[in-house]
Amino acid sequence: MTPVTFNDTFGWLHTPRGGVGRVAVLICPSLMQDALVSHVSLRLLADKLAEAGYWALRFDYPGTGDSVAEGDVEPPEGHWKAWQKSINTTADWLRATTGASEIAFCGIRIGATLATLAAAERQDVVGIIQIAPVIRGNSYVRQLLVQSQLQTGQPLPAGEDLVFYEFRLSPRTLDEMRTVDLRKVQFTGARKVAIYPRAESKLVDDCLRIWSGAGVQVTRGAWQNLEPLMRQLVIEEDTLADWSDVIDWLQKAAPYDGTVKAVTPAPTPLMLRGNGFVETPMRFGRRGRIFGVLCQPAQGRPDLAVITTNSGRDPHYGSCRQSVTFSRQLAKVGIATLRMDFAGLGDSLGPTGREHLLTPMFESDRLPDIKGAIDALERLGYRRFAAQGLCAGAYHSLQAALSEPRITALLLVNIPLFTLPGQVVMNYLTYRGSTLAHYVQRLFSIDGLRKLVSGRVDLRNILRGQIAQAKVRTAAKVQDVASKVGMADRLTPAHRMMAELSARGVRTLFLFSEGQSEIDAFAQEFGSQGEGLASYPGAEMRVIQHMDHDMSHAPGRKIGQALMVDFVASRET
Amino acid sequence: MSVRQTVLDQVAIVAEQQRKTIPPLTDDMPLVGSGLDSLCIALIVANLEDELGVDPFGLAGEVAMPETLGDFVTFYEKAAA
Repeated sequence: MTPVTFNDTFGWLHTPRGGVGRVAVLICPSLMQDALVSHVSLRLLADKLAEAGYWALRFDYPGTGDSVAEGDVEPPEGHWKAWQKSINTTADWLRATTGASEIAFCGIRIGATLATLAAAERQDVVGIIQIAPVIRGNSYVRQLLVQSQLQTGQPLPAGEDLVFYEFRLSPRTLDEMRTVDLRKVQFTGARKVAIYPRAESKLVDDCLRIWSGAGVQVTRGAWQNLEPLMRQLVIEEDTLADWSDVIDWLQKAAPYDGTVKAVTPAPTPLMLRGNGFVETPMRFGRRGRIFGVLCQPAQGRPDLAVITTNSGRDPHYGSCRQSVTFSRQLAKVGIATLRMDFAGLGDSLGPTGREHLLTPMFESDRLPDIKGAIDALERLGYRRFAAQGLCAGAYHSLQAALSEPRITALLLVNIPLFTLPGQVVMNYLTYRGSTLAHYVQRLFSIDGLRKLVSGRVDLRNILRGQIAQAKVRTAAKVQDVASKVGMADRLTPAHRMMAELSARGVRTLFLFSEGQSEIDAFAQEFGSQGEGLASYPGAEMRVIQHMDHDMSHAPGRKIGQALMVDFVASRET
Repeated sequence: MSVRQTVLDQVAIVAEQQRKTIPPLTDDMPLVGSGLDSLCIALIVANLEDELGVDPFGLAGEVAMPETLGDFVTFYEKAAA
């Protein structure tokens, strides 16, 4: 797979192996959470298509992923029309670049909707693969509005823009999305469509009936092997979608034709320029298996680079594109950023033999990846390095700084633990939040007992989480007593870490959103206001109102990012 | 299928799809805080609009989210009536 840039857009071109067919497949991703969760499975799809003889291109719509445009600024034509237009221009680019004579579209969720609308207007589309398509735009907009309402506590007032995730969607854009109904799409020319619905739906039945009646060859595929495309909240090693059925369908709908002469795509400048920044895709690490996007100031040559890491399993651009907006803010104050993917996440390949698995969120050694990033940046002339991460990304950034002396600053958002808990991490994180007394009190209420008897309270996992917490507290107390009688080092592991970093001159900023579970591990060590950090020069912490765990709520995210920019930039002025 | 059963089916389907553990469905079950997150509830609402062909939020303009499952069912029953 080869990174490509075109039309202010970033993409990945997957070149067929062993011959070149006449068909190129344009993969149209979804938006927001759907896009984050399905990112790696779509990379696998593109690989499988290339193995089967098809060109495959993954790309970002304007205002999404690594594209130049901003999501919270609507283009003159509105986001919806801009996204549709980008599919057409990208399909044209794909054909011109590869020499393919026909295009197949594969879209997921709202990406399937956009792909179908674009395909209906083109004469060169040989087939459409719809993965869990959004059939009615009105219900999709309702989904966004309800989620926003639950996040803000307020319904969206009529006539106002919807600010949600990385987007600002105007009433006009929302209205344009609402009017979409795939059942009404009229395909020009003969069409072949494969639809893979996630659940039974009368809307899907309608599509099959209406499109078949219009002469379209419609196939309903099975969902079973595609579930990883939508699977959230998994932090252990996990499988990706199995695309065998989809590839089989495409091979029947648009058979591989190996007689077409191979075309070598013309090289394109691998660079995107925006307001105050220049971005370049980078591959580094062992055999170039790790990927990142280097964002540099448009002017000047900084020697400081911030490395942003994956938050959970989100790709390098981050939930709500937070790593993109953060790196472009840093560029404006003269600081470079490498937003990278750890091995087996985003666009970085996993370990040999496990390339097609998602690597565990916490229980993976990310140090080689971060060292590889620093080595690559050093070769480009950078001399000072900071690491930034959210949740699991914060945990790995901290661990890396302890082993990597070239890291001189840390930006840690909602770090959930300092050391692994010695049990399933998800259970620990889920059930550590409250004290055991709190659970006991709840259990001995009438309702609590009813829940316990009916199995609605997971007592086993609560106890496991509490035992792990108790071990941490007990260990801290034992260590404290032992140190007082001269039998042990006075410091807990978390304090030892901070002492070491502080002694090395590493500056550390801890940011937390409000809520006990967010700050629990930190508060046990350093107090809920960070008063225990006073012993460690260069370390500070802030609790940010209106910031949620993954910084998906725009007001809190903007405050958190501004604090991080100030913290890193304060040494630059 | 009744509106009530359609609502309950969608709650169960989305909870399973999103790997959420929820209690047995009763009318007094709080919609938020019983294991369903905001994405789950948003997906349930979107699916119900597709399955029932009604958008109770749209009919009423700016409306507050029902607090319990029973209120949620009634909300859709009234819209479909």
